[in-house]
Amino acid sequence: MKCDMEKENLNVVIQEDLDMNNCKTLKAIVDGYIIKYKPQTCVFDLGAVDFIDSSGIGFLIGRKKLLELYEAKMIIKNSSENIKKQLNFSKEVSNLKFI
Amino acid sequence: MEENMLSIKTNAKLENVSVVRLAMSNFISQTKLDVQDVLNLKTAISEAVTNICEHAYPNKKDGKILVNGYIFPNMIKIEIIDYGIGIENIELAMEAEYSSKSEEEHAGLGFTIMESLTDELLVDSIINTGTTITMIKNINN
Repeated sequence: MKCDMEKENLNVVIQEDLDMNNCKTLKAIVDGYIIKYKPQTCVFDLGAVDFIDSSGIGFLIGRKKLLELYEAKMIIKNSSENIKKQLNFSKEVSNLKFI
Repeated sequence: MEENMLSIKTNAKLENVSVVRLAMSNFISQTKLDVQDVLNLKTAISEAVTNICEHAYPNKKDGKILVNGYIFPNMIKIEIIDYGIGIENIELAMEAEYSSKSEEEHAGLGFTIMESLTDELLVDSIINTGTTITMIKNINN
Protein backbone atom coordinates (compact mmCIF):
# COMPACT_ATOMS: atom_id res chain seq x y z
CA MET A 1 0.00 0.00 0.00
CA LYS A 2 1.08 3.56 -0.65
CA CYS A 3 -0.30 6.61 1.16
CA ASP A 4 0.40 10.07 -0.17
CA MET A 5 -0.94 13.48 0.90
CA GLU A 6 -1.46 15.85 -2.01
CA LYS A 7 -2.67 19.26 -0.79
CA GLU A 8 -5.83 18.42 1.19
CA ASN A 9 -6.30 14.98 -0.36
CA LEU A 10 -5.08 11.62 0.88
CA ASN A 11 -4.39 9.12 -1.90
CA VAL A 12 -4.29 5.49 -0.82
CA VAL A 13 -3.13 2.96 -3.40
CA ILE A 14 -3.88 -0.57 -2.24
CA GLN A 15 -1.89 -3.39 -3.78
CA GLU A 16 -2.82 -6.20 -1.40
CA ASP A 17 -5.78 -8.57 -1.17
CA LEU A 18 -8.41 -6.92 1.02
CA ASP A 19 -8.87 -9.79 3.45
CA MET A 20 -8.84 -9.78 7.24
CA ASN A 21 -5.15 -10.57 7.53
CA ASN A 22 -4.13 -7.54 5.46
CA CYS A 23 -6.90 -5.20 6.59
CA LYS A 24 -5.66 -5.17 10.19
CA THR A 25 -2.37 -3.62 9.08
CA LEU A 26 -3.92 -1.37 6.41
CA LYS A 27 -6.41 0.01 8.94
CA ALA A 28 -3.68 1.05 11.37
CA ILE A 29 -1.69 2.84 8.65
CA VAL A 30 -4.60 4.59 6.89
CA ASP A 31 -6.18 5.70 10.18
CA GLY A 32 -2.81 7.14 11.21
CA TYR A 33 -2.75 9.28 8.06
CA ILE A 34 -6.39 10.38 8.46
CA ILE A 35 -5.96 11.36 12.11
CA LYS A 36 -2.64 13.10 11.54
CA TYR A 37 -3.40 15.00 8.31
CA LYS A 38 -7.22 15.36 8.48
CA PRO A 39 -7.67 15.26 4.68
CA GLN A 40 -10.74 16.76 3.01
CA THR A 41 -10.94 13.86 0.59
CA CYS A 42 -9.55 10.34 0.74
CA VAL A 43 -9.21 8.46 -2.54
CA PHE A 44 -8.78 4.68 -2.37
CA ASP A 45 -7.28 3.33 -5.59
CA LEU A 46 -8.29 -0.34 -5.85
CA GLY A 47 -6.90 -0.87 -9.35
CA ALA A 48 -4.32 -3.39 -8.12
CA VAL A 49 -6.68 -5.26 -5.79
CA ASP A 50 -7.48 -8.77 -7.00
CA PHE A 51 -9.50 -9.97 -4.05
CA ILE A 52 -11.91 -8.53 -1.50
CA ASP A 53 -14.09 -10.25 1.06
CA SER A 54 -16.34 -9.02 3.89
CA SER A 55 -13.28 -7.95 5.90
CA GLY A 56 -12.31 -5.65 3.04
CA ILE A 57 -15.85 -4.29 2.90
CA GLY A 58 -15.67 -3.69 6.66
CA PHE A 59 -12.33 -1.94 6.22
CA LEU A 60 -13.76 0.48 3.64
CA ILE A 61 -16.94 1.15 5.66
CA GLY A 62 -14.83 1.81 8.75
CA ARG A 63 -12.64 4.35 6.92
CA LYS A 64 -15.75 6.02 5.49
CA LYS A 65 -17.17 6.42 9.01
CA LEU A 66 -13.88 7.80 10.33
CA LEU A 67 -13.66 10.28 7.45
CA GLU A 68 -17.25 11.40 8.10
CA LEU A 69 -16.22 12.32 11.65
CA TYR A 70 -13.81 14.79 10.07
CA GLU A 71 -16.46 15.85 7.53
CA ALA A 72 -14.25 14.45 4.80
CA LYS A 73 -15.29 12.62 1.63
CA MET A 74 -14.26 9.17 0.48
CA ILE A 75 -13.86 8.16 -3.15
CA ILE A 76 -13.13 4.72 -4.59
CA LYS A 77 -11.15 4.64 -7.80
CA ASN A 78 -10.40 1.95 -10.39
CA SER A 79 -12.38 -0.84 -8.75
CA SER A 80 -13.12 -3.85 -10.94
CA GLU A 81 -16.66 -5.02 -11.62
CA ASN A 82 -16.05 -7.99 -9.34
CA ILE A 83 -15.04 -5.73 -6.46
CA LYS A 84 -18.05 -3.45 -7.06
CA LYS A 85 -20.24 -6.53 -6.94
CA GLN A 86 -18.77 -7.55 -3.57
CA LEU A 87 -19.15 -4.01 -2.20
CA ASN A 88 -22.82 -4.00 -3.16
CA PHE A 89 -23.48 -6.63 -0.50
CA SER A 90 -23.39 -3.81 2.04
CA LYS A 91 -26.04 -1.11 2.27
CA GLU A 92 -23.46 1.23 3.80
CA VAL A 93 -21.43 1.27 0.60
CA SER A 94 -24.38 2.39 -1.52
CA ASN A 95 -23.67 6.10 -1.07
CA LEU A 96 -19.95 5.84 -1.79
CA LYS A 97 -18.59 7.72 -4.75
CA PHE A 98 -16.86 5.65 -7.44
CA ILE A 99 -14.72 7.13 -10.19
CA MET B 1 -17.78 -41.00 -6.69
CA GLU B 2 -15.84 -37.78 -7.21
CA GLU B 3 -13.54 -37.26 -10.20
CA ASN B 4 -10.93 -35.49 -8.11
CA MET B 5 -10.41 -34.23 -4.58
CA LEU B 6 -8.11 -31.98 -2.60
CA SER B 7 -7.75 -31.88 1.16
CA ILE B 8 -5.95 -29.18 3.14
CA LYS B 9 -5.44 -29.25 6.88
CA THR B 10 -3.91 -26.21 8.49
CA ASN B 11 -3.81 -24.12 11.64
CA ALA B 12 -6.62 -21.62 12.11
CA LYS B 13 -4.43 -18.59 11.51
CA LEU B 14 -5.36 -15.58 9.40
CA GLU B 15 -2.08 -15.79 7.48
CA ASN B 16 -3.17 -19.20 6.17
CA VAL B 17 -6.48 -17.97 4.72
CA SER B 18 -4.94 -16.75 1.45
CA VAL B 19 -3.03 -20.03 1.06
CA VAL B 20 -6.23 -22.06 1.40
CA ARG B 21 -8.32 -19.88 -0.95
CA LEU B 22 -5.59 -19.84 -3.62
CA ALA B 23 -5.04 -23.59 -3.46
CA MET B 24 -8.77 -24.32 -3.62
CA SER B 25 -9.44 -21.81 -6.41
CA ASN B 26 -6.60 -23.32 -8.46
CA PHE B 27 -8.06 -26.77 -7.83
CA ILE B 28 -11.59 -25.85 -8.93
CA SER B 29 -10.39 -23.85 -11.93
CA GLN B 30 -9.60 -27.16 -13.69
CA THR B 31 -13.38 -27.68 -14.08
CA LYS B 32 -15.77 -26.11 -16.59
CA LEU B 33 -16.78 -23.41 -14.11
CA ASP B 34 -16.44 -19.96 -15.66
CA VAL B 35 -13.98 -17.45 -14.22
CA GLN B 36 -16.68 -15.53 -12.33
CA ASP B 37 -17.94 -18.69 -10.63
CA VAL B 38 -14.38 -19.64 -9.63
CA LEU B 39 -13.95 -16.13 -8.14
CA ASN B 40 -17.27 -16.44 -6.33
CA LEU B 41 -16.37 -19.78 -4.80
CA LYS B 42 -12.92 -18.48 -3.86
CA THR B 43 -14.57 -15.60 -1.97
CA ALA B 44 -17.05 -17.92 -0.23
CA ILE B 45 -14.23 -20.24 0.89
CA SER B 46 -12.24 -17.28 2.18
CA GLU B 47 -15.22 -16.06 4.20
CA ALA B 48 -15.73 -19.44 5.83
CA VAL B 49 -12.05 -19.95 6.68
CA THR B 50 -11.77 -16.38 8.03
CA ASN B 51 -14.82 -17.01 10.25
CA ILE B 52 -13.09 -20.05 11.74
CA CYS B 53 -9.90 -18.09 12.44
CA GLU B 54 -11.90 -15.33 14.11
CA HIS B 55 -14.52 -17.25 16.04
CA ALA B 56 -13.96 -21.01 16.35
CA TYR B 57 -11.05 -21.14 18.78
CA PRO B 58 -11.24 -18.17 21.20
CA ASN B 59 -9.08 -19.88 23.84
CA LYS B 60 -6.86 -22.08 21.71
CA LYS B 61 -3.84 -21.19 19.61
CA ASP B 62 -3.42 -24.45 17.73
CA GLY B 63 -6.97 -24.99 16.45
CA LYS B 64 -7.20 -26.72 13.08
CA ILE B 65 -9.12 -26.18 9.86
CA LEU B 66 -9.81 -28.94 7.38
CA VAL B 67 -10.93 -28.00 3.89
CA ASN B 68 -12.00 -30.70 1.47
CA GLY B 69 -12.76 -29.97 -2.17
CA TYR B 70 -14.53 -32.53 -4.36
CA ILE B 71 -15.08 -32.29 -8.10
CA PHE B 72 -18.05 -34.26 -9.39
CA PRO B 73 -19.17 -34.31 -13.05
CA ASN B 74 -21.94 -31.74 -12.44
CA MET B 75 -20.94 -29.97 -9.27
CA ILE B 76 -18.23 -28.95 -6.86
CA LYS B 77 -18.56 -29.62 -3.16
CA ILE B 78 -16.41 -27.84 -0.59
CA GLU B 79 -16.42 -28.85 3.07
CA ILE B 80 -14.89 -26.48 5.60
CA ILE B 81 -14.53 -28.07 9.01
CA ASP B 82 -13.38 -26.88 12.41
CA TYR B 83 -13.28 -28.54 15.82
CA GLY B 84 -13.97 -25.41 17.84
CA ILE B 85 -16.70 -23.99 20.07
CA GLY B 86 -19.50 -24.30 17.51
CA ILE B 87 -22.18 -21.77 16.59
CA GLU B 88 -24.85 -21.31 19.25
CA ASN B 89 -27.50 -19.75 17.03
CA ILE B 90 -26.96 -20.52 13.35
CA GLU B 91 -30.00 -18.50 12.19
CA LEU B 92 -28.75 -15.41 14.00
CA ALA B 93 -25.21 -15.90 12.71
CA MET B 94 -26.55 -16.07 9.17
CA GLU B 95 -28.50 -12.81 9.41
CA ALA B 96 -27.16 -10.05 7.17
CA GLU B 97 -24.86 -7.56 8.89
CA TYR B 98 -24.89 -9.53 12.18
CA SER B 99 -21.53 -9.79 13.93
CA SER B 100 -20.80 -11.39 17.29
CA LYS B 101 -17.86 -8.99 17.55
CA SER B 102 -19.72 -5.74 16.99
CA GLU B 103 -17.04 -3.77 18.84
CA GLU B 104 -14.60 -4.71 16.10
CA GLU B 105 -14.73 -3.69 12.47
CA HIS B 106 -16.75 -6.41 10.79
CA ALA B 107 -19.23 -5.96 8.00
CA GLY B 108 -21.13 -8.98 9.33
CA LEU B 109 -21.62 -10.19 5.78
CA GLY B 110 -19.71 -13.47 5.85
CA PHE B 111 -22.68 -15.84 5.67
CA THR B 112 -24.64 -13.49 3.38
CA ILE B 113 -21.79 -13.58 0.89
CA MET B 114 -21.35 -17.35 1.23
CA GLU B 115 -25.06 -17.92 0.57
CA SER B 116 -25.15 -15.51 -2.35
CA LEU B 117 -22.10 -16.90 -4.11
CA THR B 118 -22.91 -20.62 -3.87
CA ASP B 119 -25.83 -22.69 -5.10
CA GLU B 120 -26.31 -24.40 -1.76
CA LEU B 121 -24.90 -23.72 1.70
CA LEU B 122 -25.30 -26.08 4.64
CA VAL B 123 -24.16 -25.27 8.17
CA ASP B 124 -23.93 -28.05 10.72
CA SER B 125 -22.67 -27.11 14.15
CA ILE B 126 -22.42 -28.81 17.55
CA ILE B 127 -21.44 -26.75 20.59
CA ASN B 128 -17.90 -27.52 21.77
CA THR B 129 -17.46 -30.09 18.99
CA GLY B 130 -17.19 -27.97 15.88
CA THR B 131 -18.80 -26.75 12.70
CA THR B 132 -18.97 -28.07 9.16
CA ILE B 133 -19.90 -25.74 6.32
CA THR B 134 -20.74 -27.43 3.05
CA MET B 135 -20.87 -25.42 -0.16
CA ILE B 136 -22.24 -26.71 -3.44
CA LYS B 137 -21.63 -25.05 -6.78
CA ASN B 138 -23.29 -26.58 -9.83
CA ILE B 139 -21.33 -26.93 -13.04
CA ASN B 140 -23.51 -25.99 -16.00
CA ASN B 141 -22.14 -27.73 -19.04
